[in-house]
Amino acid sequence: MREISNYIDGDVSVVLKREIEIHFIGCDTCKLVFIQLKTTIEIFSGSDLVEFPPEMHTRLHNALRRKMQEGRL
Amino acid sequence: MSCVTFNVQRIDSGLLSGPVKKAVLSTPNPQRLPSTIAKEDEHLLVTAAKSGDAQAFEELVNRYEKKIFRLTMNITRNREDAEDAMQDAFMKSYAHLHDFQEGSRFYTWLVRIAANEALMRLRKRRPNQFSLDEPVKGEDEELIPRDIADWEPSPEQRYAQSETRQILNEVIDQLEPDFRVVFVLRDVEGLSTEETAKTLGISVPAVKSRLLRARLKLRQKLNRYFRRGESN
Repeated sequence: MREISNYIDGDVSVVLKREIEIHFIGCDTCKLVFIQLKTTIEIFSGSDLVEFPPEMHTRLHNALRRKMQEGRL
Repeated sequence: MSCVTFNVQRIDSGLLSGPVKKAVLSTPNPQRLPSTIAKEDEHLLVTAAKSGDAQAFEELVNRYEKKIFRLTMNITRNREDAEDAMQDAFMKSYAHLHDFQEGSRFYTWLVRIAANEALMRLRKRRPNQFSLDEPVKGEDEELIPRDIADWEPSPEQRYAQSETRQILNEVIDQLEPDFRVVFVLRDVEGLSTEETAKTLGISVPAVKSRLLRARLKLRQKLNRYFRRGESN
């Protein structure tokens, strides 16, 4: 599993990369785990899990301006 | 093998390249650029903000506020703490702009400040539950994935957007904080392994170990929702 995770990150040697790719050809389980780990990463990195409401934007900018005007920054 | 040729997608802020960037960089007075051009280049905005241009800094805030809130929320999993951490991160970044080395990426610098603000609040709220200093507990047997089953193609599209969001939030909430913060910095925010280690003050092997476990745990939890033929 460590090697698959490192492989996803491009953090393996050329030789090991080739070995992993050959292994995937003959091992459906490892290939499936690899695809699902990648999908997991892509789903989380591509999703807007958190809403950012307009009032939060307003509060942030008001706080920043207040601090700037007060010269506290 | 097509399954091994695609790369993990990373978040990109979309900095300019090509002719427009060239035009921006060749402008004699970067602090007084037309706003349409100034919006396009992070480095010029940082330079202008450093020289006291508050509007330039606000433009940087506009550009990154959503992403920074997502980061602080994903680390703290508490809305109030996340908003406080985000506000303090922007204020500290403004106050310490003179320390920012312009050869590096402003967004990465900002992420490190925001992550530290969020971690501080997480430690306060969970003093006995969260420690990055401790070695990862568990045996290598835990690394063997269970319940291997095919997922639907584009599994997240099986659910409505709001439903997917709810599932992902539930799943990430269940992840232990010391695994979650590594996953968020490395895989969601796209920091390198070394940057993640530096931000968290832990070793590169510790990042890799926590990241592997975080990925496997999340996959396992998503399996329940995304396996072919299942309906929840």
